[in-house]
Amino acid sequence: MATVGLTGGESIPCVDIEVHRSSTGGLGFSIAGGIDQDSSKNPFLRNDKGVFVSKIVQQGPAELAGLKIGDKLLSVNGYDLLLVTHDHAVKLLRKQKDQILRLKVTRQGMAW
Amino acid sequence: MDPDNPDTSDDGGFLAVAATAATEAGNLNNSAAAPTDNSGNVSPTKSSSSPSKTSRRNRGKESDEESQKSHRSKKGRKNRNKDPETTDYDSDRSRRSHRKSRNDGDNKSVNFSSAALTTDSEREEVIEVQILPQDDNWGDNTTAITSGTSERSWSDLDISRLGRPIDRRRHGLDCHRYFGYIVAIGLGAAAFFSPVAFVIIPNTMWTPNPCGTPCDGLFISMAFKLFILAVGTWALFVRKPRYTLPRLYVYRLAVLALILVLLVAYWLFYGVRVIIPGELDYEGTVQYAVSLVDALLFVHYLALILLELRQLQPAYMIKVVRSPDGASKYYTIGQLSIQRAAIWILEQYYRDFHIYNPHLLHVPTSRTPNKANKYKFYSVDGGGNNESVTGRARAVMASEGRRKETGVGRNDRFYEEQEYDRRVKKRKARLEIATEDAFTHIKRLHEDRGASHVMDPTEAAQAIFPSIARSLQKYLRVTRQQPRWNMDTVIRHLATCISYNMSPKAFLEAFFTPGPPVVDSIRDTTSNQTWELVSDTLVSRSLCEGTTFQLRHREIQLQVYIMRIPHFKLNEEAYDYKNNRFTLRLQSETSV
Repeated sequence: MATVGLTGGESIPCVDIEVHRSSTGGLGFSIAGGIDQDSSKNPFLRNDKGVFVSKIVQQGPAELAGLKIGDKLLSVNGYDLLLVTHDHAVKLLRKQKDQILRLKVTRQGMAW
Repeated sequence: MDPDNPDTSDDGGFLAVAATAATEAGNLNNSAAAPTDNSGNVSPTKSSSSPSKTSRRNRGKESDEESQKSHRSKKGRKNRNKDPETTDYDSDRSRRSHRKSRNDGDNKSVNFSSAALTTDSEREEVIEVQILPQDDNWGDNTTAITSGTSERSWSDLDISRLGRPIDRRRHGLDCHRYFGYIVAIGLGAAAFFSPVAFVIIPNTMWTPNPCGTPCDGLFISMAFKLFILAVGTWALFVRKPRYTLPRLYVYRLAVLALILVLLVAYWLFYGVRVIIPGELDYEGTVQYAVSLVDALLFVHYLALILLELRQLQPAYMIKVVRSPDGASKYYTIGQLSIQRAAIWILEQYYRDFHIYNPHLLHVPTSRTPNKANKYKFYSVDGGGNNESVTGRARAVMASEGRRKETGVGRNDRFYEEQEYDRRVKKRKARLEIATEDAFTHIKRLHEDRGASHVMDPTEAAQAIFPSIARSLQKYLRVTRQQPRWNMDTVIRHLATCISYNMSPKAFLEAFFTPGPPVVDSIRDTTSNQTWELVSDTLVSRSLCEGTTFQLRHREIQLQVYIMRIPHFKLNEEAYDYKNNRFTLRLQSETSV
């Protein structure tokens, strides 16, 4: 299963985060994961094939927007990130013409 | 119709014809006649202008001749034979006579014209073939030919000549070679017929005891063994001699000596034990003869091992470098003496190396050879630029003057070689197109179709040759192959290709890939190729790593270096085929 501990039809608690792309084009975080990656090595949620935030640049646009390490990205600008390969996720996030990225993000222990 | 007098100078002729045609274009009566006059005038002007065209071509050729002549005079050759190969082209003596004055006496340039047989080309093709003087090395470099070359050659002459320097005479060659051959045959025949003689002599001189079935068995076995010996000797050792070595061929001499000793011993004992007392035990005599046949078979086996099989296992790696153009190849070779190794190397050389064209050394001759030397200096009249121009020009002139003749520029040779490659490719492409066009004119005659003009392959070749001739000549000239091909050989090659239905590319292959040096040696009139072996160790010693020797033939030098083959140590590694499983592991972290 792409998401651990959930069956189909259930809803996930998530939060919307807007990240503004900096002038240099970067967003200030690193992602890890994807359906082509080895999910057993996932440090945040074992055996989860989703895309996670693994590193945040200090005072970068992501940190200012409230993204944290360990966040699982669910969608960006309407594009689904639950069942994508790593490269496809990178491509979606690196699309330069979107100055503002609207991310749907979920994290552990999030309350409704 | 019109008394048109065409101008016989080159381009003026065409202009004059065009002018007359233009003036008569308005005239209705002559409008029909003008085209015919045009065509009628075209051929005379063309034919009259073709000598000047070919004279221009000849001038271009002369620069090549001069460069070749200088190349040869640098080598300082004497004994230049001028082969009179001009006897073939009797039809063109008149043309040649007025062009001979232009040529130097040393180089022969032959021009011949082939009449155009196809209707679409009305021009006469004049093809120039340069015949370079052949170097007759009659007295120059010959090796001493001493030993015969079959397996049983007697080389007592070698023993007497070991101390002498290399003999330079050549007229005694065949005597020596065939003398050794004859002695070898004699020894072989003596060895072959000795057992037969052993068996027959008691019957002729006295009557021994009759002997029953054991003797029959022995006779049969002796007959078969002799037959096998004869066939084995014929199969292995009876062949045309391919080489003659300068010194003793030690193994061959050893085998012959062994045979001689064997025969002497057997005859000695036979004479003492059988003839003199008049031995009556015939079975014993026959067994004695059979034992001689067995011994001869084993000597044959020994000869096979020593002469043929021992050198097959690779023992050394040799590198052969050809001197004037730097071509090199690597070979593995077995345990051989230096002279036999030299023969083996020559066999590989004649097959593997590209043919050596001495004219290709000076190939990148650009069309404007004086471009780098001359510096055109135009003085600017008037104005303030004068000083700056002259100042700059003077500096450049000084630097040009400082440059040496040979180093005309760092990149000039590179550009010249590029230019040369481009020219070769261009002419090659044009030649291919011309040949393909020409081959479409020839169609194989089928029985059911009536054709206009029926020809055999040679005539067909002569028919399409003129359309190929010009581009072929240009290509041959650019690649400096024209000494090898004259009109007869080209037409003969073309006729062969046509009669076997070969494609144009197959026909052109002979010109594009000239082939290994064997081709040249076939074309030579003498079938002997004399090579000199230069070595600091005795050439009948076996090869030793780290040494080197040289083979020389005219201007080609082959330097041979001997190296060791590494010793291979092979270890076995256990291969666990049960644990041969794989997983896919990808973890990557990408910053966004």
